[in-house]
Amino acid sequence: MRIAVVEDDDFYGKYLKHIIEMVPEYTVSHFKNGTDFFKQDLSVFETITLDYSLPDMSCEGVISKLKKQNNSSNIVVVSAQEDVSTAVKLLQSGVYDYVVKNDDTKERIWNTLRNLTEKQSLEKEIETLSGEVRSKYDFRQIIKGSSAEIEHVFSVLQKAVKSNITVSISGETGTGKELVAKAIHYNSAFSNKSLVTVNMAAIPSELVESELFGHEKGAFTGAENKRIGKFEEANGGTIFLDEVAELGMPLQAKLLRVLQEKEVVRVGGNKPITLDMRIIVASHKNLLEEVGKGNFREDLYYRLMGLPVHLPPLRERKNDIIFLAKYFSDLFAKENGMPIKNIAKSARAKLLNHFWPGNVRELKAVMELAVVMSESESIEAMDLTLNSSSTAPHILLEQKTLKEYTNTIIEHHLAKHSGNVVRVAEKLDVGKSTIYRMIKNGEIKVV
Amino acid sequence: MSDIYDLTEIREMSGNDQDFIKELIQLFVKNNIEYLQEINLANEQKDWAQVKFFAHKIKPSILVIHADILKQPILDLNEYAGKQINLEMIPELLDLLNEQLPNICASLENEIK
Repeated sequence: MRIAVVEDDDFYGKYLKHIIEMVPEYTVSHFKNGTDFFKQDLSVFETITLDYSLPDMSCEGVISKLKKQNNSSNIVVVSAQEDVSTAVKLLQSGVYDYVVKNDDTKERIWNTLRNLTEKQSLEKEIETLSGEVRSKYDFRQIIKGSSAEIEHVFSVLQKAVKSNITVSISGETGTGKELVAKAIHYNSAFSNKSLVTVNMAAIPSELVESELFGHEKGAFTGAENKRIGKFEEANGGTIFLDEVAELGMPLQAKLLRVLQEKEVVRVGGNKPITLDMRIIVASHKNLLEEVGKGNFREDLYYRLMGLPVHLPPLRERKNDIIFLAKYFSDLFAKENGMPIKNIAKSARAKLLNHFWPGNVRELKAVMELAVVMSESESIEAMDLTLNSSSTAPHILLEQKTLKEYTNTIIEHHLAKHSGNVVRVAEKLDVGKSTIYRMIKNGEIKVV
Repeated sequence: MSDIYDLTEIREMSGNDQDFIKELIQLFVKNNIEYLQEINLANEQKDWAQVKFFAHKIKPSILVIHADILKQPILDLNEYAGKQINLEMIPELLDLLNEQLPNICASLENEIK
C-alpha cells in the first residue's frame, strides 16, 4: 500500500514514516505542506494521513480539494487536536479514521492501516466478484439461442436495463423468468444493491403481508420482534415478485398503494418508509386473462405491466432446440469429465418433435440424462427419455386447424417410430397410403 | 540515559539505528527551540490562539520521547490557551516549559555527540 504522510512537523513526519514503514507492505512519501502534496500525482496513494494543522491549508480544505479531484484515497487524520466535535465532523465528512497523537499513536496507526488493508482487499474482491456476476448474468450467457424470438427478447432486455421501468416477465414454466430477472438486475444501475426474490406461490397467504411489508414488534400474536419486509430489504436495489398472479385480492390493493405512493408502512406501524427500487414481476399465468376472470385487479395490472418481456416457449423456438441440446450436453459432459458427444440425426428429429411442456428446464434435464445413458459416440434417439404423457394436454393449447393437428400428430409418431410408416399407420389406425400421400404432397415431413 | 525522557521505544522501533535516532533528535531540538521562542512571544502578546497552536506543535514530540515531566503541563497549556480558561496558570506552565525543554534538548544533544 502506498501512503502519503502530510505532516508539517518534520520530527513527527519522520517518526510517522518510520513506524508505518515498519510494516513491509507499506511505502510512505512524506509531504510537509498541502502545496507540495497537491503537486504530486495523488492517484498512486491508496491512503493519506493528514495532519489537522498544516501551515498553508486547513485539513478541511485538503479534504474538500481531494473530493473535487474525485480522489478515492482513504484519509486518516492524525492530529494532536483532541476535540471530539472536530473528530466527529471530519468522520462525517468521509474521513476513514481520526488518530490522536498520543502514547497510543503507533498502535492506533497500525490498527487503522491493517483495517484499511482488509477493507481494500474486500473491496477488490467485491469488484472482482461483481464483474464475475455481471459476466455470469450477461444476457447472452444466460439466454442461449439465436432465433428471431430470442433476438427480440435481447433487444427488450437492453431497453429494460437503461431505465428503472417496472418489468413484467411472462412465460411458461421453465422458460427462465428468474434468470432474466437476475440478468436485468445485475446489468442495471441497481446492481450495487440487493436483488430480493419473493415467490408469491411459496408463501402461506397469512404470512404474505408481513413478508412483503414487514411488521413492528407486537403487531400481531407471535410478532415478538420487529421484522424488515422484502420491500425494505430491496430498497435501492430490485425486488422480483415471482408468480405475482397468486397474490390475494386484499394484498393486491396494498401492493397497489405501495407502488403508487412509493413508500411502505410496516404492519402495525405508522411510519412510512420511502422506497426507490426497480420492480420486476413474473407469472406463468396470463395476467390479462386473470383480470378478465376477476382474479387480478385491473389497476394493478396496468401499474405492473411496465415493459413486458415475453419468453417464448421452447416449442416456438425450433431453431434453438438443437443448439440448446448440444450446449447442455456439452456443458454436462465437461462438468463431469465425460466425452463430448454429437447428437445423431434420429435424436435430433425426436427433440424437434417433442412439445417441451417443461421448456428449457426440461430440455436440460433430458440432455443431461442422455449424456449419462449414451453408450456410443453420439446421443441416439433411444438415449432421450421424453415424458410423452405430459404432451397431450399442452398440444391442445396451440391454436391449430384440425388438418394441422392431424399433420402434427402423424409427424410426431413418425419421429417416434423412426419414420416407420407401416407401424405409424397401425398405431393411428389410418391407411399407410394416406401417410405416404401426405409425405409426397409435403403436408407432413419425415425428419 | 536520562530520567527526563525515555528513548527506549525509539531505539526498539528503529532497531537501534543510530543514524535514524540522530536525525530524529536533531529535528526534535531544532523544532522545539523554535516553538519555544514562538510560544513565549505569543504569551507576551497575549495571543492565546498562537499559544495553543505552538503547545499543540510541541505536544506530539514530547509524547514520542516520553518526556513525562512536560506531558501534563503541555496538555494543560494547550487546553487553557485553547479554551481561554485558567489564563493565570499559563505563565507558571511556560516557566516549567522554559526550564525543562532546553534541558531535554541539551541532554538529547549530548546523547548523539
